[in-house]
Amino acid sequence: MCALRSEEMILNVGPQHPSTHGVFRLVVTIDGEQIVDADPVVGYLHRGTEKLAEDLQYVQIIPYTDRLDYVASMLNNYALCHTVEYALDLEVPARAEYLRIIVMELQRVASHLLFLGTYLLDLGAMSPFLYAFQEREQIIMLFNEICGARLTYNYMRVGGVQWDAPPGWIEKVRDFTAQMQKKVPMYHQLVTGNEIFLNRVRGIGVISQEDGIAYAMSGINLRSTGFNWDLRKNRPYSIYDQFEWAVPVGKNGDCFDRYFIHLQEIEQSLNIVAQAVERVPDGPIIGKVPKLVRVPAGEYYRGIEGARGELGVYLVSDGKDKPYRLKLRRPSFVNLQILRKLLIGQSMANLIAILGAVDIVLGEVDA
Amino acid sequence: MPDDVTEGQAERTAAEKQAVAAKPAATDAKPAAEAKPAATDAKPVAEAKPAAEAKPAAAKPAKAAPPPDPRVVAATAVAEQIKASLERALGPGVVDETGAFKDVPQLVIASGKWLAAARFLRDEPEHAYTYVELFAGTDYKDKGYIEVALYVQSVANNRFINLKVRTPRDDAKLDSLTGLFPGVNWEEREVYDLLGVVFTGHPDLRRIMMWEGWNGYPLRKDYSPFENIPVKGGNGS
Amino acid sequence: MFGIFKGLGVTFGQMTKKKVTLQYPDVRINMPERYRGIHQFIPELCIVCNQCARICPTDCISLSGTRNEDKKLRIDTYDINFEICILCDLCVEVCPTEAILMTPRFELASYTRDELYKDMEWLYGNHLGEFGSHEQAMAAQAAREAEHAAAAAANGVEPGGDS
Ligand code: SF4
Ligand code: SF4
Repeated sequence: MCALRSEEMILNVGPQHPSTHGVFRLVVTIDGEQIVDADPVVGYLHRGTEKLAEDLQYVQIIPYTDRLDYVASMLNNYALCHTVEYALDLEVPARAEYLRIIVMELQRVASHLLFLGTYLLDLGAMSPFLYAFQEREQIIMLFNEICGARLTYNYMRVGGVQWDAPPGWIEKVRDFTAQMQKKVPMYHQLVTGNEIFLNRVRGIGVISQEDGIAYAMSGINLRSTGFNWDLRKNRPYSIYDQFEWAVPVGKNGDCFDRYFIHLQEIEQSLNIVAQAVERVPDGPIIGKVPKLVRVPAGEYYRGIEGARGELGVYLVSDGKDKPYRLKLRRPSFVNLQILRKLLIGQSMANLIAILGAVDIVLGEVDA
Repeated sequence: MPDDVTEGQAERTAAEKQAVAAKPAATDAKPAAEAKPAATDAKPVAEAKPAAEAKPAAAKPAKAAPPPDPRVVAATAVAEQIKASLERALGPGVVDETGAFKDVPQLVIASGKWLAAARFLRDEPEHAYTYVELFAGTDYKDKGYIEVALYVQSVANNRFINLKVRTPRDDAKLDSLTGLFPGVNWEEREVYDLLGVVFTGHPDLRRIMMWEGWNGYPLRKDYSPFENIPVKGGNGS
Repeated sequence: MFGIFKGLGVTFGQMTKKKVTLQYPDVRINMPERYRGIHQFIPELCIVCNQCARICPTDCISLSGTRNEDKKLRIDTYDINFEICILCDLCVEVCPTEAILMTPRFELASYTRDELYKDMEWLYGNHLGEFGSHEQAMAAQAAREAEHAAAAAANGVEPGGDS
């Protein structure tokens, strides 16, 4: 601290602030430019999904999961369907698994592209946003063709998927993947080497590995600390074990690592999609599922690797067609807890860089 | 909660649980396997034993109904092992109940020992359950308690278990785990907000989804949106 | 400093590329066939089985019907509250007679909330479009589909889909 003492002041960031990515309020106490305390206030977007789900049949809950992390709905769909399938010990036909993998990994690419665009926009770089959205739009249009919606897909069902790929869709995905794989180096050219960007993100918002684990973080936030934990590898589900791909990990746990892993994950996801489109088998797209799904009494928890971390569904059933209790483990919500610790002692200008890199979606934080 | 009472309750509910989890035919085999560790409590070994005993017991009643899932049997054995280890360290009565769902071992911890058991399982290198994956509360209105479930992963030993604890509905109170796992801070606030469980020792126990002054706990089963009319004009103060 | 120029190189490279944006109200986006837009309803086909109202996760369909002299049920009112409809397609999925379908239309903004409460007539109008009756609309659709199939066959792609 400099010799000049200034008075502490309370500043409200949000709830309606463009760089909070939704309705999120952050009450920061600042001393000059330095953050002394920060208190994240969430809940502005709370819709009570968990309570609503207690009165809904499983098929009716799927559209609600679309609205959690609304930039990665396919993954949310999958988390719920997968948990129910796990509870029922259900076989999913091979074609459905492949279609699911393709849409999930494309979704991850789309979600990471959105992160890149908005994160750099937060930091003052306008044009990467436009590039990212151009590519994301293509993915969304592909989804639009397969399931008829651009964001809230409602595509998966217990035991499979609802719609088969329209004629020519697989080829379109193949073309897009090849084209996108060539585009990734362009992002590195555009952003990664930029000195202004590097100065703003290098060594900022460092999370240590111990903190990452203690704060129950997951996803890229955890992997940026150098801890190799990806549920697709560590607790394999679906058919991820049949593809060749790597888990990118960081070294320093700073904002730059998180940014960089996002780009690397895009490459890896495209890798998986490229392998999957080559071997999509023919066959049914939905398994033998009773019309009214009843989950046997018991408790089930399954976590999948969402775009932002471990997306888990905890299901307590009493044998009826509706869940007794449905708890959604939302990665954004859990990851956000560390924010206070990261912010204290930083300057106001770094606030946006740190908050952006934690990568939250408020629909998921508030459920 | 006095320990002897919970013990009795637990025995009964344990039998019920097992019956549900492992299909009716297993009921005659299971209590026998379960009674064993209780009898040999004083002897601190019994590590691999329950597993060895459970296997033939599971094979026997195969003709009547589907045999119990081998994953459940294996996971229950793991739960028994952890129970034995916990009781060696913290004395008898720490674990009310053991069981498993699918491949996840499950232990119901006595509510008074919640913090101690979690700390032991986190710090002991043999267990090292350090990474919290899920923290959730469920209201069991008919059974009269609220149950809090904690799914933790041991990264070092690559094991995944479910710890649970129960607290009566009217005076729901538990020790906070924030000191051990800072990552459950908001989760505990959420359980407090939506289910009304007070976590003693929590540094910042405020509502998180609803505003202060919200009437009632929405995730409780007897909550009604009509009776619990929200206090108008609440602004978080 | 070099990194910034590298980035600028990408920007300049983009200048020669084709535009990807549309001038929206003048140029309309072409929605694919499966697009889940606002519903259309065909009273002729409805058997008043109430399945759509039961599956709807937000309870936004309300319907009523009466029994004809010939013991058949006939739909009387059919309302969808688009204030809360989430366009999830579940009602279309369960309807046994395809009486309720979705159209590629997506513009539904209005000045008051009451206007979002749509009745059977409006939904039927969605189906009819510029045609006078259900038969004509169906005939036009069949013609359109035949045309599509012919075009697809000419391109060597399998006709139709399963949507
Ligand atoms: S689309 Fe979904 S929400 Fe809308 S009326 Fe149909 S079932 Fe209800
Ligand atoms: S499901 Fe179809 S036939 Fe049945 S009431 Fe609804 S619109 Fe009519």
